[in-house]
Amino acid sequence: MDSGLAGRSCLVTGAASGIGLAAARILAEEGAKLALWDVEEAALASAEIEGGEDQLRAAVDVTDRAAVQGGVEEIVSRFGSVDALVHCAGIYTTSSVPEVDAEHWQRVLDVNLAGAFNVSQAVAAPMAAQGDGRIVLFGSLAARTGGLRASAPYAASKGGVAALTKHLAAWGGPQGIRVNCIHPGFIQTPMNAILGERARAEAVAATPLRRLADPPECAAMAVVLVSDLASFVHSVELDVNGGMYMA
Amino acid sequence: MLAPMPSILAGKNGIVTGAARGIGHELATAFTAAGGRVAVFDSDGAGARETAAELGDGALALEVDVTDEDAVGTAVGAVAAAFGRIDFLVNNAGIRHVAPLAEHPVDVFRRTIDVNVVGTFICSRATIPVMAAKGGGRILNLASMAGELALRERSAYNASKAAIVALTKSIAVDHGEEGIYCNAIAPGVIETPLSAPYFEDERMVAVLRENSPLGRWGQVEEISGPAVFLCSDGAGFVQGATLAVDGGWTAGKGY
Repeated sequence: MDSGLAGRSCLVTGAASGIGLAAARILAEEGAKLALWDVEEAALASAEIEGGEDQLRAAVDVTDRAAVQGGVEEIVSRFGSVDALVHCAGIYTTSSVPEVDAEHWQRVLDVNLAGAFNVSQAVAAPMAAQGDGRIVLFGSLAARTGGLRASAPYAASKGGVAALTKHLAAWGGPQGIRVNCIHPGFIQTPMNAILGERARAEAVAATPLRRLADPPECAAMAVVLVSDLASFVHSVELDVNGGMYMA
Repeated sequence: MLAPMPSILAGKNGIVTGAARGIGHELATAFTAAGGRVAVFDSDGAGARETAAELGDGALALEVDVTDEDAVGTAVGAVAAAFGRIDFLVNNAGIRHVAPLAEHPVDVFRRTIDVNVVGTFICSRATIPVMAAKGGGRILNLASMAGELALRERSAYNASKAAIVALTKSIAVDHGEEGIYCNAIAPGVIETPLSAPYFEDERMVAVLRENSPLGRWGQVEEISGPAVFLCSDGAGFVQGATLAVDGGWTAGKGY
C-alpha cells in the first residue's frame, strides 16, 4: 500500500501557513514535487518545508486569473504536469450581517469561491489532457451550519465551494479527475486566530473530542484524498471537525 | 502525520469482524500489511482460522457470532489478553438479503438488523472500555451507499446501513471524550471475489458505468486505503464522519 505521491507534481495554495503549510510538509515527506503558492510572499519564502523531490514557490493571488494561468503554466513547464491540487487559499471574516458592505462581500467571495474555481479550472486542463488528476477543495463547518461566528460571505463562499466540488466532480470524473471537499471544524490556524478565548472554549465544549485540532490533523486527510489510497473516493464532502457537527 | 503506509499501523492491535472473506478479508490483509496485528472475528470459525493463518504476524482467529453478547465479551477479553491492548475495531460483519419488500421475510429483516446494527453495537460496547483504559482507540464501521440511497429489493439492508451512519455518530458523541474515535466508510459498488459474477452481466455493467461519475466500479483494495488511514493516528480530527468510497455514485445523482 503506497500513497503513490513520490515524484508527483502537487500544487498547494495557501501554503505559507495553517492547513496548507501542514499539507505541504506531509506531501514533502511523501516525496512529491511541490508547487507552493501564497499571496504572503515573505511568509511563503520563509516557510520551513523540508524535502520533496523538487520545490517551486510563487506569490500567486488566486483572484488574478492571468496570474493563476501563468502559475500553472510555470508548474507544467518545470515539473511536466500538475497531478494534484490541495487548494487551501482563503480568507476568514467574522462580521455580523449589518456590518457586511459590498466590498467585504465581494472580497470574500472573490478569494474563497472565485479563487477555488480559478485554480481548479487552470489545473483541470493539464489534468484532463493526461487523463488523471486529483483536487481537494476546502469548504468549512460554516458551509454546514451557515456560520456561527463566521460572516455571511464566508459561510456563503464555503457553501459555494461545496457545490463547486460536486460540479467539478461530475464534469471531471469521466476524464479521470477526482474532486473532493473537506469541511474543517475548529483547526487552530493563523486564519481563525482572530477568535477569542471564549469562542475557543465554546468550540471545545461543543466538540465530542473536547479539544481543538492542529493543522496536520486535517491536512493528512487532504493528502490521503489526493493520493492513490483514495482512488475510488470522488465527489465527497468530508467533515474533519472532531464530531462537532456530524452531517 | 501521514506515516509511510507500510508502517502507518505499526504497533497497533485490533479486531476486524467478518474477516473470513470478502471486504473483511481484504481489510484484515491490508491492516496487517500496514503493520497492525489483527484478530479475525467470524461466525465461520474455519474461515477465520484460515484468514489468520494467511495473515501470520501474530494474527488471532476467533469464532464469534457478533449478535451474541456473551461470546463477543469473551472474545474481546481474549484479544485484550493476547495483544495487551486494542487500538482499532473494524465492524465489517454483515448480511444482505435480496427480495422485494412485500416478500421480504420478517425474520430475515430482524436478523439483518441484528447482525448489521446490533452486532456493531455489541462489538463496540465490548471494546470501548478496553480502548478507553489505554487512552482511546479508533472504531471503523462499514456503512454502505445503501444507507444513503435506497437500493431496490434490499429494504432490510438499506435500513441497517442508514442505522450504521447514525450509530457511528452516537459512538463518537458518547465516547469522544474518552479518546474513542468512530467513523464509517460507505462503499459503493465494489468487486469482491464473492460479487465477481455480478460484473459479468452486461446490462448490470452498463448501469454501473452510467451511474458512476468515474465510469467504473471499485476494486476491493480501494476500500483498504481509506480504512487503514481512518484507523491510524493520521486521521487526527476526523470524528463521527461517514466517508463515501463509491466513485461519486451517491453525490452524482441528478441530471
